Amino acid sequence: MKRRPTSRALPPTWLVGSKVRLRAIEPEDVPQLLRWFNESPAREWLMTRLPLSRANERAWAASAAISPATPTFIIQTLAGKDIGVTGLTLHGARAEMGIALHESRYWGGGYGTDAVRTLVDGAFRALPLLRIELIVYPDNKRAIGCYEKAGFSREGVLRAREYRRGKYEDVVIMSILHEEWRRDRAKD
Amino acid sequence: MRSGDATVPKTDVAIAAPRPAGVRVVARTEAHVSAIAAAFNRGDAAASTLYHLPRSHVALSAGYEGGRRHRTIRNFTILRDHEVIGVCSLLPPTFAGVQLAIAIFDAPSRGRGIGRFAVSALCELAFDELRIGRVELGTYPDNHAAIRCYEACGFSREALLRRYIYHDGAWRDLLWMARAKSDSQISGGRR
Repeated sequence: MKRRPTSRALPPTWLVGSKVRLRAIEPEDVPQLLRWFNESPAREWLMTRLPLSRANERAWAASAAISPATPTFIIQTLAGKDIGVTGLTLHGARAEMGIALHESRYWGGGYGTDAVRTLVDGAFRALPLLRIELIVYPDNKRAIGCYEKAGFSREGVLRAREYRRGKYEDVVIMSILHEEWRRDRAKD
Repeated sequence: MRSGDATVPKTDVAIAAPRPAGVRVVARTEAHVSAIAAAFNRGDAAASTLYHLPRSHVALSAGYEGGRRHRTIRNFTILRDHEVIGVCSLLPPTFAGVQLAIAIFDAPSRGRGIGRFAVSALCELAFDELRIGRVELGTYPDNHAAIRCYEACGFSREALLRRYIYHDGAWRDLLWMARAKSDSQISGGRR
């Protein structure tokens, strides 16, 4: 991994895994988010399909950075390179998770799995959640493998849930429960 | 992180306990926010205070601004020689009176009377300026240093609230303590 010299200290966070750290998103992240959402190879798997405008992205980042219902983080390598976005949408004791590892150079290196693990661990530690769930396209094998490694189980298939490539497609729904996380944590 | 002199309000909160060298409790300003965000996001005080997912600078800033506007939340910063070493606040009560919250970020600064000084100062503010007769707070039952500090400041144990607060992956008990204005004569009060 290329270690880039950082003159400034990394933004502080306690969400630190073995490969990545998750830092709070800030309005200053908008230009990078815009580039990612409109150009990244991860776009194929995202549930947002149309290119986003700057205004759109600015509004999204501003609300993501402020709203307590949507804790959102930039995924950084431990050296401080921004490589993607992850976050939660809270619905009481249930949370939906989303993740996009936009920098494809970091695919297949365990960064995604570590980001999922770090977010799940932090979320269950800080928030009284019973379950964290996510949806994923069935052909996104890499992502499904990553979620399984991070402790998620497949619950089923939601039929015709997402519109992609001109038609409605099924998605897989997966989840991890608080008790499963606690059991895995006790093992570590 | 340092804050410029210009941001320090003219008057400190009135004191009742001995003031550790260089330590002041001042009204919180925008200049303190990055240091506070950094400390909370690093998790420096997480073992003994609330567990939060890391929050953005803008979110914290907006939160403090909201508190200032509504005057229901009085946020202070604990400084030592212009360095932010902790925070304390007076908040709307959970039960009655006013609620106190405090966190000292810097581990080597703990156990040096800084908490005692800040807690006494906020009690004095509540009793003498805000004319509120009761200050209450919650603390983790295993946080012995904090409990000693509150007792030295005149707080007494009121209740063990069972499974009251979610912290580090489980619902924990919370020790509830309070000090009434009429307790002021005992240790930690005016001498």
